[in-house]
Amino acid sequence: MLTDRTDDELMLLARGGVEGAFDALIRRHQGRLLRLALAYTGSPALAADIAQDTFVALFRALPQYRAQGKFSAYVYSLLLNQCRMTQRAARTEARALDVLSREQNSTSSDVLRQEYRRDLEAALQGLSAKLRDAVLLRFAADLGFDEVAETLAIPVGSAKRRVFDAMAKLRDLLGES
Amino acid sequence: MTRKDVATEDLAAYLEEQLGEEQRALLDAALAHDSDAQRRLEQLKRIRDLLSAPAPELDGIDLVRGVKQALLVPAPARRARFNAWVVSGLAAAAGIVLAVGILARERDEEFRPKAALTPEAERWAGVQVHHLTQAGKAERIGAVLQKQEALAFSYTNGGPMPFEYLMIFAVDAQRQVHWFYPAYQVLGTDPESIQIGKGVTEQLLPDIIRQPFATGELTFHALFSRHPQRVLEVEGWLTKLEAGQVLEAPNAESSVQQIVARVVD
Repeated sequence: MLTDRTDDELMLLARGGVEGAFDALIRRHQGRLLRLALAYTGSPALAADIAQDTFVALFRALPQYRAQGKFSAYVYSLLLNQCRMTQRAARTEARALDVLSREQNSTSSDVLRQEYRRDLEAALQGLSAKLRDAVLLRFAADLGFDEVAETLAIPVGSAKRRVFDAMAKLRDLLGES
Repeated sequence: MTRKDVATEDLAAYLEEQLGEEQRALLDAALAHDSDAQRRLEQLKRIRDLLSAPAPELDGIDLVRGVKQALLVPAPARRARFNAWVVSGLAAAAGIVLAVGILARERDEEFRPKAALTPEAERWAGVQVHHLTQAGKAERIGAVLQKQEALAFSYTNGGPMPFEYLMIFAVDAQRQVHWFYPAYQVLGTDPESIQIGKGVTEQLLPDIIRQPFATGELTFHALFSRHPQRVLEVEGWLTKLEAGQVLEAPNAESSVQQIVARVVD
């Protein structure tokens, strides 16, 4: 079954034209990519666009892909690039729509949590890109420290340090709440 | 230990279980009586939990369809590979055999173009609606459609001035709008027309789609344009139509075509 294949195997099968291989890759990774993009942008609409563009870029990179057991690093590098490009051309109207729809869908018990989450989104924008990428890869994408390090092309110790620094900085930015 | 003895970065490392045994024991001892460190640790936990928390607003999003749509805009050097993936995937999955024909020359009686372009331009662009037979083959729909039938679409876009964008949607007997292209699945989004190839004859779009139509008249719309249109804008035009009115092309550089069928149980 395709779902039993590793990421590298699926990439090679997709490159060979095997039906469903690329679909399986998308379905395996879309949840975490969407969550990371959402944490990065704060917008579900932008997150969906970014994750979609990432998979499109991944598909178009099939001929160049090297199966070296570093699929996560590869795909999350693509995603972070898409996030940065999108952020530069941020579409504020989409964000406004998202905020509106979120508020319409929320129950009263969610309000405090959503407020804190919005504060957290704002605080994330206050981090340097290096710290933000590291902490979001670790928690929003649920990558291990070794995968964070591979994605950012830095030593594992540096990846850990960035994550811990980012958490401390976020706590400072959020104040005493 | 005082507050300055316990750095917040170290608390983060503690939370992530990344401290050595000795450091961990030191922090355990400090946390036992340092209420400020305890509070900061709780704040870090909250930040971590929120960053890791599922996002309900993303539930139900499946990117497979959107990725295939986006790949319809060919990257010239790799077009052949992409087409093989999309078309072979669809065909193999459903056993589809499409009768290829030039739509401009083979319109059905129910195909009623409404366009602001010249008849010459209209001749070269159109959409075909297909349904899957029980044998798994695709056939152009006739006058009657079963509820929840599996549908597929193809388009032709040729001539001297081909279009660049396309929307396909249907309005059922209860005036419910059903979107096929672009996909419109997330509340609060406003997707735009898909980009289409030029000089294309009977290009199969990649999805097989089922939607719960109301019984009665169902009108498929194909909106060809040279600039992308937005879903919410089109829905705005539709809400302004009186009963019996049909959607006209919004400007001189677009064309709306309708295919009417009757949905039965």
